[in-house]
Amino acid sequence: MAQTDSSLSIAADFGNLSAVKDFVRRQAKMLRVPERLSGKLELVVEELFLNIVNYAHPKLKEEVDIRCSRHSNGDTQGEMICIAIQDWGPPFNPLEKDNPALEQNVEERPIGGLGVYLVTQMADYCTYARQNENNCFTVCFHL
Amino acid sequence: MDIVCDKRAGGTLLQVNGRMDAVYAPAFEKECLLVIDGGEIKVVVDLTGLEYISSAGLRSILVSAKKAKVKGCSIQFCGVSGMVEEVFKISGLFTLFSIVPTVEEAFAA
Repeated sequence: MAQTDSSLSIAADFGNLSAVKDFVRRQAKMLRVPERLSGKLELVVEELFLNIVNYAHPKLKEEVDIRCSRHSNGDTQGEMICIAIQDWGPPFNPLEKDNPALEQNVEERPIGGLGVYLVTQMADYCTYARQNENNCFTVCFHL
Repeated sequence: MDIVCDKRAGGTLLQVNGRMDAVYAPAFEKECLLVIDGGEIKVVVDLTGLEYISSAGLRSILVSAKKAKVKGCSIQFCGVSGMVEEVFKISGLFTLFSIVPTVEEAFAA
């Protein structure tokens, strides 16, 4: 059950990255998220927002919805802070991406492909859903 | 983010402070490539003052390291801690680069 809920709708534009981060920072403060998670929340929202900016189809609805919520599910897992990010681009499930090659030397090491990998490795819980013509990716951290 | 560039006898020290995200990472890459293209043989990147890094920052670091390799310049990192250390670990950068605790150790290596 979500205790507090708030969302931001914003155009999928690189220039909005700072506004998106400010929103998440404000929400984290309001939801009393511990300081140790602030860098992780910032990374999650930067990687996922820029993924949409860079890859979502520009002719479709260019709006992205970002929602922060604090959940208390009453079981042993305790409370969680979740960020849900929603876009109206073509179906894209970040969890289906192959893990990047990490064990190579500097010459052969690819320079990209780390964003989603960082998100999935840092988060305690990630889920993707395609519903009503939109992609919804949710990332949660234990508090 | 701000970068302090200190040319020393044994190489160039780049001290990076603040946040290396998609907005600021290109500035680091530009500064680093400028030093490498200038013919420097050793670059030490001190990340003690870096509070945050995203995949865009890692990308700039990898681009710089590749350029250094081509140019025969050694590049070393130090002062990696907190969130930055976690990102480096997940990305396998500790096995890819020479990373030591302090600036002094980086110059001595």
